[in-house]
Amino acid sequence: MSNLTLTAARLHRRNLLLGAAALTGLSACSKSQTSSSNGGAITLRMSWWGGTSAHKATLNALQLFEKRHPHIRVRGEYTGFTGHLERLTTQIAGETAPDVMQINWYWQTLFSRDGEGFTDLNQYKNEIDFSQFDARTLSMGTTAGKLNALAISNAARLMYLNKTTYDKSGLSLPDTWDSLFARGPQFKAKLGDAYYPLDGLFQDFIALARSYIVQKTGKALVNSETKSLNCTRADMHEYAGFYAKMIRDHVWPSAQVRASYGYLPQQEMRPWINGEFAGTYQWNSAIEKYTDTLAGKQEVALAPYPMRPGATDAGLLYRPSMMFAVNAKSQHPRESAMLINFLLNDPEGVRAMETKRGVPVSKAAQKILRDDGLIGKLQQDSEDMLARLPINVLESPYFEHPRVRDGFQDILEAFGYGKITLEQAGDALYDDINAILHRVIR
Amino acid sequence: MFNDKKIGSLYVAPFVIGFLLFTAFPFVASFVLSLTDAQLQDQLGSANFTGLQNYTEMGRDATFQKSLGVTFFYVFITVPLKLAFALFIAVVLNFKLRAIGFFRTAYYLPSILGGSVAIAIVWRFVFAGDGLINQALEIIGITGVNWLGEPNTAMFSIILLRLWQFGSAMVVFLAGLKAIPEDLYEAADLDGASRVRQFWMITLPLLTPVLFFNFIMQIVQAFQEFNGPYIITGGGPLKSSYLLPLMIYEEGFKYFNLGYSSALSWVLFVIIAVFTAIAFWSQKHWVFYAQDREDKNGGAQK
Repeated sequence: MSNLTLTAARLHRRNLLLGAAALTGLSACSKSQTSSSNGGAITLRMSWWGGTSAHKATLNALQLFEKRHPHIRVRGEYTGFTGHLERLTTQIAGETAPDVMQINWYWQTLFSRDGEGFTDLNQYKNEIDFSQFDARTLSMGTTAGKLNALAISNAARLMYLNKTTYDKSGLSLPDTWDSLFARGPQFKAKLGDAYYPLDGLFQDFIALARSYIVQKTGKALVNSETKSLNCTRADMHEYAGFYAKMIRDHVWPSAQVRASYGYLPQQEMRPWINGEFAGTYQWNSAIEKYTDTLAGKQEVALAPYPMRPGATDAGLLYRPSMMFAVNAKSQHPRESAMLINFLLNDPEGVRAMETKRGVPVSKAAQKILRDDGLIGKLQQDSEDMLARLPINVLESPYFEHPRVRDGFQDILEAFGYGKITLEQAGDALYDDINAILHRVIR
Repeated sequence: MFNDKKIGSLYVAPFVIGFLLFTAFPFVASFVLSLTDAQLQDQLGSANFTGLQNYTEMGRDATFQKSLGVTFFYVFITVPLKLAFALFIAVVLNFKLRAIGFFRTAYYLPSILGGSVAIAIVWRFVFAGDGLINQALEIIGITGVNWLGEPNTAMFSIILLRLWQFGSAMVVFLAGLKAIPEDLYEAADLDGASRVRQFWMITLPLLTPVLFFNFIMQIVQAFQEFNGPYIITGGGPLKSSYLLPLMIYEEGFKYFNLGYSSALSWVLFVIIAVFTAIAFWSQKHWVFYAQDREDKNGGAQK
């Protein structure tokens, strides 16, 4: 059997798993699988995704938790990120999901649109020290008054630039939009055609341009209530113009240049590795993944965040990067809450987890790690910047819906390849994205 | 203890269970799903029966139409080229050359590696803007081509990946060539037929059953191509390599539209079935089975 048929078979198998759980009544007998207790001993299941170092740190933390609570066993179920959502979806559909789950902020809209999809953690005030979390963090995990998920760390997209390349060009890191625009031609003149002051996938660009527009409007770009864009047609024309300018002025590699490397992550592209694409607009929680792949001794620095004159909001996508939630059907929600508190607030748990999931949101955890010197410079710089910048606008999670993102990409790409004019791109961004939002927000 | 019947059933049980569980059930389930608005993240019970809505939706879905066009283009270019190339190499390798075993192995190797993810990644590197091919072109003073960055050449790169895996078709052709009796060629030699004429009058007609088999296999495989576009181009640029299997995957597992995704798989299934049926129907006009000619009473065509 070729790989293709294998893939097809896998697709079918997914259907089967979903189907088998729901149709053949397997779900009924597996309910008790969520967790089990015998003779006073309790077994919890906890799932997460991550890299090897995160796995090791978490397993270590779970052992410490078991030592503290000898009557509780915790079984870890961990994978890489690829396929994790599909797996969790299948488990939730089949009612075999673990007690404690690491989830993405956005997944709340998938699994708990009414706030009933996960356990309401507000019921466990004695188990979890909520005073370590600010109101904003708690609100990001709340749906319909129910605290569904607690943030592990926060993440925002910031501008990280290759300082080595900038030094080579003799230019300073840009600190305004205008100086960023100016770096394009300057890079081209001083370093050559292959060098760009900033780069990223379409999805990165789409977020950057959003920030540029939100700084002007002072409102989230998407309104979940009206299922539409929260800006004018003229704003979307400006959005398109922003892309056109970035490409024309050599600030951001064109669609053709980027596509010439094939379909692969930015940090695996040769021009990023050797410093020709000298910047990324990236989640602070993920930046180490990018600095890891740089060749030789190159340094990445956090650039001042560009602000439009008069802007009252930085327009950042700022939200929990990972969260813990408890299965709504868990047999042991209290013990699950204890485990979450141990991992997020307890000195032992915090020291075991380190910053493997980013800099923790919990104030107690931050203090412990800072005192231990476990927070890196780039991470600390990012935290400090996020504390300084005005961030009041909360973007709708639907802005990051894959269909919405692909909608933006298709239009920008069509413009980039000269299939549509700038005028048409602006109109399409307004009309098509509104249509997509109307379709995906249910 | 066990009678033969029971033991027999026991032996076939793994296959039967596997078939029912992993082939028959999903096959039926996907059709049922295709008639609903099922979302991957929801309980299946909450899906609504929507009849043929998913199928009529395709008529309005520009992405589907683009994807369908691209898929047909891919199949129509890939299959004939690959068959021709495989046949050509098979004929060459059928000559009595020195170290023929080595050449046969060498040409077959890509097929063993072919469909794998690793080869697709290598392919991406070979065709990248700064990849192997452009580096080589540069050495001889030719400006590189943006293989993966332009719609036409991106598709070309994906097609070439499939063509390169001609080995399995070639081996089948080779077996077919070996089965052609030598005396036919000797007789043709005596009659003064040239090599080219021998190929058209003897080799090709006697090879049609093998050609037919390869044709069906290649059509089925080409319509299901996934790894190449998924890894090399991600379906781009401008959806120029967005083959239907890739769309099925993204609808299901990126956009969570299980219902629509299932409907798309059924459309692909029907397309493949129709092409296979046409091939079977047409074979009486072009596929030559030796025993048909021996059967003097006729009418018993395969």
